[in-house]
Amino acid sequence: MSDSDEVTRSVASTAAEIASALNFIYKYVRHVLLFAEKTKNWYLILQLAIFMPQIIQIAQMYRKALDDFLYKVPVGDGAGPLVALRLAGFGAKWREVTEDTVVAESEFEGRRLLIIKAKGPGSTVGRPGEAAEKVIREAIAQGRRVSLMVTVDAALKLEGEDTGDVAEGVGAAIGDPGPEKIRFERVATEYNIPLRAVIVKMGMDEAILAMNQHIYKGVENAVERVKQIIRSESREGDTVVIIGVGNTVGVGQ
Amino acid sequence: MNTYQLYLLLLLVVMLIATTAMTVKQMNEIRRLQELRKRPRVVTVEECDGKTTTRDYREGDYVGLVSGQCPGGGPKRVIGIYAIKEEKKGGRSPI
Repeated sequence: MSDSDEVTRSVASTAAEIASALNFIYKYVRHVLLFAEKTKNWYLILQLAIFMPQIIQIAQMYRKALDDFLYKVPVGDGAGPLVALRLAGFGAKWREVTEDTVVAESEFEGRRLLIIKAKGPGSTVGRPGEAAEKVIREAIAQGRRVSLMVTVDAALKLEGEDTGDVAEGVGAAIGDPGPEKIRFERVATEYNIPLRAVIVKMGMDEAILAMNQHIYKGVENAVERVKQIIRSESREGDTVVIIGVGNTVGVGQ
Repeated sequence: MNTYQLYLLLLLVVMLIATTAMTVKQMNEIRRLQELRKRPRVVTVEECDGKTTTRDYREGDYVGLVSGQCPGGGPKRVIGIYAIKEEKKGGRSPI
C-alpha cells in the first residue's frame, strides 16, 4: 500500500473497517450459539433464531457497502459534502484547514460563505468540528461578523418516511456524539452564533450504499433549503459558515 | 390396502411435501444471493455549458472531476454520481 495514492489508501482503510464489522457479527453469533450450547440454554438459541433474519440483513448490507466503497462511488452519507460542494461551486479554491478537512470561500447574495467539507474524493469524514472552530476563530480575528452556522448531514429516517426528504432544525446535524459535535456547540455558544441543521433523510442501508437518485434529488433540495436559511437568517456583509458533514468518498472538490 | 401400506403412503406424502418445501426455500435463497451480487446501474451526471447529460459511471469518476472539454471551450465537469434504484413492485402496505 505504500506506493498507492491517498484515495486508494483511504478506501482500503474503510474496507478494513467494514471487514472488521462483518467479523464482529460472525464472532457475536458464534459466541451466542456456543454459549447457549454450553449452558444448555435453548431460549438463547431461540432468541438467536428469531433475530437471525435481521442479523443476516445487516451483514448483507455491510457486504454490499464494501463493494460500493471499493468502487469509489459516492454513498448516501456523502449528501452533506455534496451539498457543501454545490454551494461552494466547482471553481472554488479549497485549502486544507485541518487533517482531511478543507474549506472554501464563496459569495452568496452579498454574504461571505465559508464552506467546510471532508477532503475528497477519498473515503473520510474529516474533522468538521475542529475545522469549523478554527475557521470561525480566524474569521473573527479578521474582524468579520459570523452570523450563522449551518450543518448539513445525512440522517436516519424512520420506516414510512421517504428517502431524500429534507428537514431542518436547530443544533448541530452530526451523527458523532463525541468531540466533533461538542466543538460546533462550544464555538457557537462562545461567539453567540445561531446553529442550524439541515438533514437529508435515508435508511441505514442507504447511508452506506451507493447514493441513489432519491438522495441525489434530496441533495438538490437541501442546497435550496440552505440558501433559504442564509437569506432569512443573515444580512448582507455577514459571514456564514456551512459545514457538509459525512463521508466524502467519490465527492471531490 | 392394509394399515401398514396406508402409513407408508402417508410417510411418503409427508416426505415429498417436505422435500418440495426445502427445494423451494433453497431456490429462493439462491435467487436472493444472486440479486445481492447484482450491482445497481450507476450513472455519472456531467455538466457542459449549463447543460447536463448522463452516462454510465466509469472507474475514476468523482464529483468535481474535469472529464473533458466542452465545445465552447469550458471544462466538462462531473456534477453528480448516483445509483439507479430499482423500485420493487410490492403490494400495498397493510396500514
